[in-house]
This record gives sequence, C-alpha cells and structure tokens, in this order.
Amino acid sequence: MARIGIVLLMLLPLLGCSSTGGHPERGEQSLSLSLLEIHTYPANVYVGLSGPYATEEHMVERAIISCARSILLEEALALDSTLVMQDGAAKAFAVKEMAYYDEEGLKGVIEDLTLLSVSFDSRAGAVVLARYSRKPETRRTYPAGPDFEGRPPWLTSYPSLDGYRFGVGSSKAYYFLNDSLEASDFAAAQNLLDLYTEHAYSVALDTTRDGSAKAMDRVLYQAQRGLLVGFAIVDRYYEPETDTYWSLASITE
Amino acid sequence: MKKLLIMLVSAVVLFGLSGCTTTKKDAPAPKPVVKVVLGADGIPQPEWVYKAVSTQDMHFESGYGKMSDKQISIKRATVEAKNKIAAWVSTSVKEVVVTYVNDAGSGDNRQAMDAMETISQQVAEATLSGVTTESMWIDADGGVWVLCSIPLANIEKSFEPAAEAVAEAFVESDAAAAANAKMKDAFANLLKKTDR
Repeated sequence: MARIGIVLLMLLPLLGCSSTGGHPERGEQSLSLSLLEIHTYPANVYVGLSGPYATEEHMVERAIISCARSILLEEALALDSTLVMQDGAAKAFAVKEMAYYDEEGLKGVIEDLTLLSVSFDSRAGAVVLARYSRKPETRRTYPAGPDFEGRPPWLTSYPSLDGYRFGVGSSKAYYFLNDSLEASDFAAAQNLLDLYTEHAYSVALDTTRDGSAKAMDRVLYQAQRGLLVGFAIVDRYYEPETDTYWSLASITE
Repeated sequence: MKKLLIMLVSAVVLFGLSGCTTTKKDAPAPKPVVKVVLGADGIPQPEWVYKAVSTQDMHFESGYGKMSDKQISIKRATVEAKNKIAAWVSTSVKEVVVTYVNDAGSGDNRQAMDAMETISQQVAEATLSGVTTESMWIDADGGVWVLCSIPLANIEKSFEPAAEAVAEAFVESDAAAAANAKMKDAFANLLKKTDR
C-alpha cells in the first residue's frame, strides 16, 4: 500500500498540466455522467472517479485507484449469488450477491497508467482518464449508438455483437454518485451471471396440503457462481423520471 | 358390335368415375385467425412463450417473472427457468435409476433405492452448468419471459461421476455391471428424446 502511495505521489505533479481547474456548479446528474464517457477513446483508456472528498489530492488518488480497479475487474471478476424464494401463503424473495476481484495487482496497474486528463465535478469528485500501457490500443467493443427518444437503445433490448455478451443493471440514486454507479455496475455484472450461468444449483420443495385447509407451498433455493472475463462498463444512463442509474456491461464470450 | 358395346360400357364407366372425381368448387376454408399478442414496445409474443422448444443437443425451458422492476423480474424469470431445467434433469435421472434397479434385481432393496435417490439429487446439483438465456420477451404488463438453454452434453458430463458411484455400489456381479452400462445408455437416450 505504501508503494501505491508513492506511485500516486509521483502522478500528482502531472495534475497541474491536465486539470480543468475549479469546481463547476452543481450540475445535472447526466452532466456528471458525461464526464465518464470514453466512447471516442481506444479500449486501453480507462476512467475513474472518486466521489467528493475534502482535498483535490485525495480525490485524484481515489480516482486513480478507481481507474486501476476497473482494469482489474476486466481481467477477472468472480461472482456468486444465492436466492431463497417462497410462494404460497407466505411470500418471500431474498437474494444475496457477492463479487470478488484480485486486488494484488493494483500497484502494478497504477504504475502502468498514463494520465490523460483530470477534471473535477461537485458530484463525481475527481474524474481521471488514463491510458493503460499493458493493453493494446484497440477499438471499443460496443460504441454506444444513437439514443432513441433520448434513451439508449440497450434499455429496451440487449445489444448483440459476436464474441461479446451484455448485461444491464440499475440502481436507485444514492447520496454520492460513485456509490450509485458502483451499485448499478454491480447489478449489471449480476445480470450477466443471471443470463449466462456457469454453474447453478437449484432445489425446490413443493408441498401440497389436502383436506379442509388446502394449500400449496413452494420453497426454492438457488445458488450460482461464475467468473467473468473482460468485464467492462460500456455505457451509462441516468433516468431522471425515476431517479435511476443504468449501466451496460460487456464480457468476452 | 361387340367392340362398340365394350367402348360404350367403357365410356359409361369413365363418365361415372369422372362424376365421382369432379367436385364442386367450395369456397376456400377460412384461415384460422392468429391472434398476435403484442408485448412492451410493440414486440410480438414469441412462440416459445406458450410452446415447448426442443432440439437434439439442447434442452430449453422458459421462465416468467413479474416483480417490482425489470431487473428483478429478469432475475425471477431466469431463476424459474433454471429450476425447471434442474427439475427436468432430476426427473430424467430418477427415471433411469428406476430402470436400473429393476434390471439389477434390486427393487426390493430399500437401502439401495435410498442410495440411488441420494445420487440422483447430486446429479441434479452438478448438471446445471452452461445455462444460457437465449431469448427474452416482456409482456404488456411488464412481466418478463425468458427462454433458457442447457447443452445436453453438459448434463451427460456431469452424470459421469454419479454413474461411477452407482457402479461402485453394485460391483458384486457381472449383471450389475451390464445394468450399469445400460443405465448410462438409457440416460443418454433419455436426454435425446424430443418429446418431454
């Protein structure tokens, strides 16, 4: 962790060259999201945001770590999910979902980042764009298409692209933008697990009662897990009517 | 004269036959009216929502979910579909196990049957690998329908350890070994049945 700190300190002097300077007024959520758009950049450019912190240095530090984390998530993201459901007189639907990634490589990833720009936003905190030198400069998998009536088409139907799979996730807005986006991204990853399950265990217990008190009950337990490779958030959208954030995620097939 | 008579009779017979074959042109039968059910965004209801899908190498099940939002509805629908697949695998395995017990002459052996039951449950647990959501449709009320598939090869592969365990439990006789082989074949054939 100390070495990560040193690397970050080395990167901080670069800020003077690239920061846009000054905090903009509190804007719309979609305006903050526009800072995260990297469609026009090659696939080896990543974005990270910090959320608001007391100092710019702290914000940039967190944004760089966020940027590096998205690279690690792309390399491997393990997910598991367990669900218990009950139908009948008593109804229940409970889900527990977890995600794991390897944090060991964080320092090495940060060392290989080249900062392209740093900007600040009252909601997003610091937003860092960085190039990752270990990855070739290729085109993005899914260049976001034109919006349909102001909404991205992937809200209606999943994109289709050979060699890739897509998942969509959403989250209600949290107090901090970075929390909302993290929740939305996580939901998109879990959606990928729901749609393409590597391994699942499912068991259901159906009970039928005859006699004066006829009843049918079903209790279902399902556990699933999977390893996502090439996980990337390819597009985001904020829906003002419902105050909801949406994420479109892709993985390699 | 005789020739003329034969020709006349032939002509009468031919006319008679042609009388049988000519048909009054009926009005074309009205085509059955196919009611197109439109879902959200005007997308027509796909056939797999109400009709089972089957192929030689894949097993399909559909699932439905309607919860508080679309994302949770998708989860619920896929859970239902996966559970149907698990139930199908479990039922298929049990069917084979019963055949096996009969073949091995161990039908009265309750302990053996219990062992079989345990094994079949393990198989149901192990076989749900590679489940893919092939298609999705959202009805006008916001309910989500999904069509999930699983390759039969994945199920057969998962069945192998369980089949070995069964073989170990009944290694005393050649008949048991033969029955075990038969069980494996039966399982493979059962999976390939198109009718469910």
